[in-house]
Amino acid sequence: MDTTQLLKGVLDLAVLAVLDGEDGYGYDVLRRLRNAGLHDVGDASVYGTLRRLFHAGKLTSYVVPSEEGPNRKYYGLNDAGRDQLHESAQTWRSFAKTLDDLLDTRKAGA
Amino acid sequence: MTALDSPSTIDRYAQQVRDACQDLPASARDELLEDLDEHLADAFADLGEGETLADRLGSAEAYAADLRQSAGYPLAAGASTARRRGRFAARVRSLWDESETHPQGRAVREYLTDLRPAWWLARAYLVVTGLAEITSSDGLNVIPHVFGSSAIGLVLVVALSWFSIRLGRATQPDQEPDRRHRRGAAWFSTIAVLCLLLAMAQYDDVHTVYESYDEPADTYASGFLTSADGDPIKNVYAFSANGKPLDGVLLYDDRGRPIDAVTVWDDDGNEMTPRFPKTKDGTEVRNQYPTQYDVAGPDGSRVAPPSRPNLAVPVLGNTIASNTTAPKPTTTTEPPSTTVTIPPTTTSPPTTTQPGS
Repeated sequence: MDTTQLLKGVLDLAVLAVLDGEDGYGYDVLRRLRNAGLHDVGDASVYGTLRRLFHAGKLTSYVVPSEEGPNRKYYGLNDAGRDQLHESAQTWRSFAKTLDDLLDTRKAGA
Repeated sequence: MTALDSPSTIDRYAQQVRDACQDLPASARDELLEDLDEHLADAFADLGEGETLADRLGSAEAYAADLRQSAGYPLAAGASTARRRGRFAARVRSLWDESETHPQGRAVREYLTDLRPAWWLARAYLVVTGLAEITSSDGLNVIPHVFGSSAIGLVLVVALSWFSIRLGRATQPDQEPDRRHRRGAAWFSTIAVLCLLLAMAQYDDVHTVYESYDEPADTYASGFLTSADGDPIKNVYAFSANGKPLDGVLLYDDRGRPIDAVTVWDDDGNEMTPRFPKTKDGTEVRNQYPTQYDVAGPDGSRVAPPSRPNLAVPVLGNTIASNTTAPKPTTTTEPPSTTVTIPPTTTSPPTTTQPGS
C-alpha cells in the first residue's frame, strides 16, 4: 500500500503532533517526522504544510538568528493549533479504531 | 559537502522552483517561497556522499508541485510545463487566480465557466470550418463544405462536437486532472482559434471583392442606375416634346434627391471620368445630364465617350403637362422650378464634344 497517499490525509496531524512538545524549524520538523518512522514524507510537503497551517492561524512563527548558516524560522503551536491537534487526534483515533475493528472482524470471520 | 553539488546548484534548483511557481499571484508566491533558500540549504548540508540535491528532493518541478499542493495552492496546469510557459501565460493565469478574491472577479469566473460548453461546440464547428477552407473553394457556408460536400461537413461537425464535449467534460475542474486530456484540449482549442483566423481572412477576401464591385470609385456612395434589363445606365439624354435634344438637364427623384448615380464604366470596361459642372461656390453639380465624360482605355489613352444615341423622338402635342409640381430638392444646388430645366447659358459645353478636340 502506498503510504504517500495515506500521508497526505494525516500530514497536518503529524506536523501538529511533532510541534506539540517543542517548537521547531522546517528541516527540524522533517527530521522528527522521519525519526518517528514516517520515512516517505517529502521535504516540500512538510514545508508546504507548515506554510498552510501558519497561514490558517494554527501556528506561531519567529526567526532565530543563527551564527552559522541561514537564520532559522521556528514554528510553534498556538491555541488554535492545539485545538486542531486534539480534534484531529480524536478523529484519527476513531477512524483508526474503525478500520482496525473492520480488519479484526474479517480475520475472526475467516 | 560533496563534489557533485555546490552552492550554485542550490541557487539553480531554487530558481527552477521559483519558475515553476511563476503563475501564482505575487503575494502568494512570496509567502510560499519565503523559506525556500533555508530549506534547500538544510537539505544540502544533510546530503550523503555522492548524493545530489535532485537525488534527495526529486526534480525542482516535482518539488514545486509538492510544495504548492501541500500549501493549498492549485497545481500549475501540467506542472512540468509550467516552466516552459511564457510570461504572458503566467500573467493570465495569475490574473485568473487573483480574480477569485474579488466579488466581481468571481462573477466573471462563474460566467466564463458557464460559457465553457458553448466553447466546446464552437471549437468543433471552427475546426470543421477551417477544414472546409482548406479542402473546398466554396467560400464560407453555414454548414461547412468539406471536400466540397456539405454532407461530410455536417457529419464532421456532429462527430467533432461529440468528441469536444467529451474532452471538455474530462477536463472540468472537478475531474481528476489528466495531462493527456488537458494537452488534447489545449491543442484542440488552439487549432480552433487558428481556423477562426483562417475563416476571418477568407471572409475579408470575399468582402473586399464585393466592395470593389459595389464602389468602383469612392465618390459614388450609391449604386448605379440600371435599366429594366439590369444594364447599367451610362448617361441620360433628355429631349423636348418637339424632339429637340436638351443639355444641362437637372434630375431629381420623388423625394427631391439629386439623381447622380450613373455608372463610370463603358461597355468595354474603360473608366469614364465625369466632368461635372460647378456652382459659383465650387460645389459639383452631379445630377446634370447628359454628363460629360473623359474616358480612359486600359493603357491610359483617351477613348471616345458614349455619344448621344441617334433616335427618333415621338412627337406629342405642343405642350408639356405642367400641372405637376416638382418636389423641393434637399440640396443647396440651384433648385429648378420644374422637373426638366434648361440651364443658364453659363453651364455645359455644347452638345457635341469630341474627345481630344
